[in-house]
Amino acid sequence: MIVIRRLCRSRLLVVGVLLSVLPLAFAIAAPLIAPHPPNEQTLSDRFLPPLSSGARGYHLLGTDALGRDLLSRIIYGAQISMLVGVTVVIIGGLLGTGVGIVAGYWGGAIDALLMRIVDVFLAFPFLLIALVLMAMLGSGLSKVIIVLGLTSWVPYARVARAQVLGVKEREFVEASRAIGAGRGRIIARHIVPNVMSSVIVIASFRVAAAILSEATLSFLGVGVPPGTPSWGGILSEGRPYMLVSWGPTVFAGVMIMLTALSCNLIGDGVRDLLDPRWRK
Amino acid sequence: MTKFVIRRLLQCIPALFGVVCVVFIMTHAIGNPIAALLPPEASEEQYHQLEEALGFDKPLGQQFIGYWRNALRGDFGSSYWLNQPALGIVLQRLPATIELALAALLIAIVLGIPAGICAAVKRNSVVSTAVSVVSVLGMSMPDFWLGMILILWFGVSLRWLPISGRGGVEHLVLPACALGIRMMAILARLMRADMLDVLSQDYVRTAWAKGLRRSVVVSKHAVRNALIPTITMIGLQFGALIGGAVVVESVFGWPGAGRLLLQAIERRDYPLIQAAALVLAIAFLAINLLVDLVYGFVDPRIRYE
Repeated sequence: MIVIRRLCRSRLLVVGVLLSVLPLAFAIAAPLIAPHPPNEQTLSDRFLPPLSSGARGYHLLGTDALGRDLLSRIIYGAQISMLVGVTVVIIGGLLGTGVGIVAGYWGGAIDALLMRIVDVFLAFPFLLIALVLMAMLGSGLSKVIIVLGLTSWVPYARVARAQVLGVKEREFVEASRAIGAGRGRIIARHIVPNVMSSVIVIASFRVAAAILSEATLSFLGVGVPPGTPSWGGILSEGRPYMLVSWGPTVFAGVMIMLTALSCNLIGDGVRDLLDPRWRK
Repeated sequence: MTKFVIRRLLQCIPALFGVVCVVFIMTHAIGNPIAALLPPEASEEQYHQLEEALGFDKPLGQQFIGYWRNALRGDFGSSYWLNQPALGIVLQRLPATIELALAALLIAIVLGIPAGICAAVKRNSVVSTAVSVVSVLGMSMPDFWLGMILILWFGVSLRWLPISGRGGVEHLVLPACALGIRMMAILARLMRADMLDVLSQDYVRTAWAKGLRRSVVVSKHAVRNALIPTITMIGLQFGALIGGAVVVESVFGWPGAGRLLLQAIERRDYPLIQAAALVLAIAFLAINLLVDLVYGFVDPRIRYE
């Protein structure tokens, strides 16, 4: 109860969680709530405006260039965005935190080498690496997740390293070492718990970044393959017909924004809770 | 100062080396252009011929040495698509990208920093809330989508501004807004947080106690100190701006290096992909160097030693 009351005290967190209900519900219950199959084409019903009926029934948000129900595609698109957002953060977070802890705890040559690698990644616009890699590998959902995961570890590594450098000199680590605790035990029991709050704060913001990156890659045609309903893909497919039918452009974009917004607000809320320095 | 510039330039070398290696790994070790370049019905013999002609039949180590030798001479081969030296094409398009990125940066700085300052000075006011809401919205908006909405609204409905191509200032407004909005949001947020931090410092209280005017306290004591993290952020975010330019340029048909990179990717034009990726990354390194130099003007405490 205390935890929930504390969580509720952060207004940002509450608003963020409320905003995330819609995309989450879409992602979890897509087959149950989607009015039409997402890839069902009805060529006689192309470009129906929102709130109109066609040969296969009612289309709340209208239809796209192939006569597919836009609402159903947007509902299914939530699955892709949520999946990418969460898995990319897990991959990037685990990799980056691991690198940061190793660099910070071991120090010396390993630290220098790992930090040079970080510098190289920082020297590259992140989207550029993702874009070129996707172009080389070819489109696909799992490839998007791996590429975004492997290119998003740098912020975690930097923050985890900085935290470890501070924590490893503290008395409780010293004491643990004095009573004979091994390296593994010190890292697992003392270092990791102290690094986690910063990592969680970054992770909560990175979900939004991952969702936006996936949408960008799919929009550029190198992300999720064209048949799969994804929000970036819907925007890309709707773009040539934007002047005839604004529905795909507006609705898919609003969903991307809403989801990223909810993640950013949750991120702000989590940061306020875990990092009192930011509570203003 | 000269010493600092030289040392900072030397520090760029490992990053530059890494960037060139990453581009090689991406274009040679991960991807193989031969299959993509040939039609599906091509024979085995044709495959090997092309492989030999482009040097992809050699061991990876040998390819790497050859790649470096050419890279140091600025030779990335000829574009398959345009049949001209790849580097030349990219350099021709680079000014357009820099123009767009700088315009976006200008919009972000001119709107974002004052907004952040206002929000901090008028804490708990409508202005402060509005800045917070707009900035979190700006951070959550895909730039290419904002571009499409701006085209629909200002280009098509209101017919105020041209929606594609490069020309006068009027061509620059919409793409620069689309590209700059996220940076603006980030700068406003950061500036607000740093200002709040600085305004609670002892020396600011002393300044108030001395009876200095509000404008002096805010501009001389608070803003100059709060600007430092914001300038770091501008350097770090410039990479995102260059990355974002790739998409925004394609939405607005802006003839820059980013759009060129996308066109090269669509056509599997490997020399052009390499050259464009490398030039954009080097542009980013150069900007970060510039940002480090700007520090000294804002914060005299930083000595170039």
